[in-house]
Amino acid sequence: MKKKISLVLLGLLLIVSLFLTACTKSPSDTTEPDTTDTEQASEEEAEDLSTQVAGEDGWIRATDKSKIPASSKKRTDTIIVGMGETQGIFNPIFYSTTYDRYVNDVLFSKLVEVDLDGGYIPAIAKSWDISEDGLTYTFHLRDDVHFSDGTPLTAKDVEFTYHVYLDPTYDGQSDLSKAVIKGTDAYKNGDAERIEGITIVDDHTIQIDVEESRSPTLGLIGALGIVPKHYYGENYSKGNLSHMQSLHQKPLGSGAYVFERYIPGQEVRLVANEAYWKGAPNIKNLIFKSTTNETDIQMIQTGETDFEEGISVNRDNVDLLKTFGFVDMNLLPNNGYGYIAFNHNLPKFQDKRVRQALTYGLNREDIVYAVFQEYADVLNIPQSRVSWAYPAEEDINQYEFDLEKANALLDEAGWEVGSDGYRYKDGEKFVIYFAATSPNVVNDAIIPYATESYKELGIEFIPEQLEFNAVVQKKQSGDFDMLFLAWGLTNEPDPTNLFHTTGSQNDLGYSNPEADRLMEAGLKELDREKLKQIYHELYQVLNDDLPYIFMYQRYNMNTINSRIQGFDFSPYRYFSESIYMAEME
Amino acid sequence: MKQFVIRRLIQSIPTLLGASILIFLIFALAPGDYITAQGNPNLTEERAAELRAIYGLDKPLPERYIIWMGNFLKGELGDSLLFKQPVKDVLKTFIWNSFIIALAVLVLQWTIASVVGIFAAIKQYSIYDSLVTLLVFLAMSLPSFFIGLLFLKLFAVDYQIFPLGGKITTGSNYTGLAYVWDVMKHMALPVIVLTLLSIGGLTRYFRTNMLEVIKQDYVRTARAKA
Repeated sequence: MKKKISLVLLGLLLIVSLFLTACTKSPSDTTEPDTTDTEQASEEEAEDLSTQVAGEDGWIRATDKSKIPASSKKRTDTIIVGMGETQGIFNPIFYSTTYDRYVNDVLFSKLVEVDLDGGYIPAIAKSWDISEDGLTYTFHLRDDVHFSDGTPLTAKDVEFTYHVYLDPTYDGQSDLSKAVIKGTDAYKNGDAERIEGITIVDDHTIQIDVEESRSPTLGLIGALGIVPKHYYGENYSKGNLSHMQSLHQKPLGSGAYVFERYIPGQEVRLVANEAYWKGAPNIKNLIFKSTTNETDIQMIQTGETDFEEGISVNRDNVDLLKTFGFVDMNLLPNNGYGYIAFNHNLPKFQDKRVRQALTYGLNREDIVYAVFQEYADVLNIPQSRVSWAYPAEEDINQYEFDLEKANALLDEAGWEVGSDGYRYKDGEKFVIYFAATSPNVVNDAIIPYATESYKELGIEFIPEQLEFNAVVQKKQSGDFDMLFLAWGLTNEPDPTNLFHTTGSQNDLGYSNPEADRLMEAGLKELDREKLKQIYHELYQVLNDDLPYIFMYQRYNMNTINSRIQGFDFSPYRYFSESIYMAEME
Repeated sequence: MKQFVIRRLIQSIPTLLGASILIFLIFALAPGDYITAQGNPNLTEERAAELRAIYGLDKPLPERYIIWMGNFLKGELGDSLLFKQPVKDVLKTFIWNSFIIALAVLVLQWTIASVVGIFAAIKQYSIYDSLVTLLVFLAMSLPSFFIGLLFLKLFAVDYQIFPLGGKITTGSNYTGLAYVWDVMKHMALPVIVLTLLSIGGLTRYFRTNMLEVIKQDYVRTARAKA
């Protein structure tokens, strides 16, 4: 009897734990776009030009506004934005998912903002000076910015915000220590009570001294949401963030909207901040509603939401949305790319010709088309097509599918075809173990194509289907030949973490002295034009040397009920940053 | 009796401990941790190590287990890394929706299944019985994702009787009865679908048991005596 009970108990617990595991999986694809990501690409589509996907500007416009659902027209002063579920972390310093970020974007204002093209434009800081040697940043703040309780925003709040980011117990996603502000180490790991390099010059001027001149520093110290010290900083002393953490669901900021109510799993309600320093928003109420991929299209169809942020971009969905007639769709290249990694620690992948052969020998165009149809493009460098750092298309090798070229390169590299049709070198057969995350639609397409084509090249391709975390683990321990994953990109092009010999995320053993030199040069250069030159050169090196087989860049889509107009977005500026401009017709 | 209960309770401790160790290990030994799962390309090694230290993920497994168990015994479930708030609060927030739906399904399921099953047994092999059997098997064999989406399309998109999702009407501030009514409208579709899917087995069970009882001698005798 006892045994039976314990068995039943155990069984139940196992089932519960399985459920929990299943639940914890979802966040991995909702990770924050500008710090991450491991996108588990959804079903979607690729032809070469964005103009074929949508209009020149990426829009597919509504054709018949008379079809706008009456239920949505009834909401005369409210816009409902449908998106994935928030985690309820309404604090720009601590949030970790994209959806929380959208909410924080409208609740808080930043020191500087990212422009449509990925550059920086003034926000709370109306201007800034960078000293000749690149070691001193001085921000001049606007004097008309107020938090929604009426308190003016001053340099004290900015100073406080930095101290929270660099607090020894801060466990959020951001890593301000990369800006190497003077005194960071003494504050984080030593006894210092404050960070030496932050100086309040007057109420509206703050000066930051850094130890190294680096190109991403302005973004690191500037593109931050500023939090009020008088509200979050009560009882704050170094190492004690508990008061701040208890306020995640009672935010106070200086953004376009003011927090009203949060209903977990349902919605976040906000009202316009009449005193917003950019001017009061046109639409009085804003509601972020949690919707799922199963119903997001129906939500916009029936008028329950006015805006859907994450509808999967594939031909079926786009065609269906077109038939509604009243929705505007905006397609933007996703800030990220899919890639197949080589294990550079293995001798067979240390030969550049082998890596090139494997790239020529893979029909990437067909694979990408199979998964995304026209809604993704084959990519050949680790940078978004819309970035200012993207080089001219004719300067990079396109690696179009070419088995002959691939065969020739393998011959040249000394891999001889044996009597069984497979290639051998020094007695070693050419076998590739491919660690494939499963379920994943891209892997489902890569595996049959690669197995087939590589066999023609005399290479045995053996896929292993594994759970996502198991693949990441294999990548870190080096127990694989090749694998497919995806990275997110930010507006800062520096890829040191990934491709530098000492890069923290370079667990593939990739090393190229020329690329190292260019990345180091890029980090030190502050002039945009010179940076452009450096990165063009770097991308040419990476394009030729192929640390990865670069696969694709896919599209994201914002879907909008055409009764609402006035958004202004780009892959670098999310809808949440221009929602204050939106108007009802 | 008291002694028996106490003995049983004491005996269950090793079982519970064993189970907790097992569950702990399932999670702790699974490849990757919270930090690798973020897949953050900008994360430096130093920062990753810092975060592991803050979360206590750098400690050896037995120590982590003891910390976790110790806190658990004190009633401390720790903080959710994902929600950045105490696990207790997260559970409190989300558990009730599931609970209410499960309860409604349970009540409906047993009521309908017992009535339908008993009638089917009384009128064994009648048209009614065959019809019930057919419908029951039909409902049982429909995959949940399909019937769920079908109902959504029919009742939420085409005829718009029920809402598409959520627990309350977006932006509403109902209180009292109006609030209850609103929640019930939002519950209706999931409850109907879940009931449909689970009702089959139970109906069959009621029918078979009822038949068994009807066929027993004492029932026949009672009937004969009318």
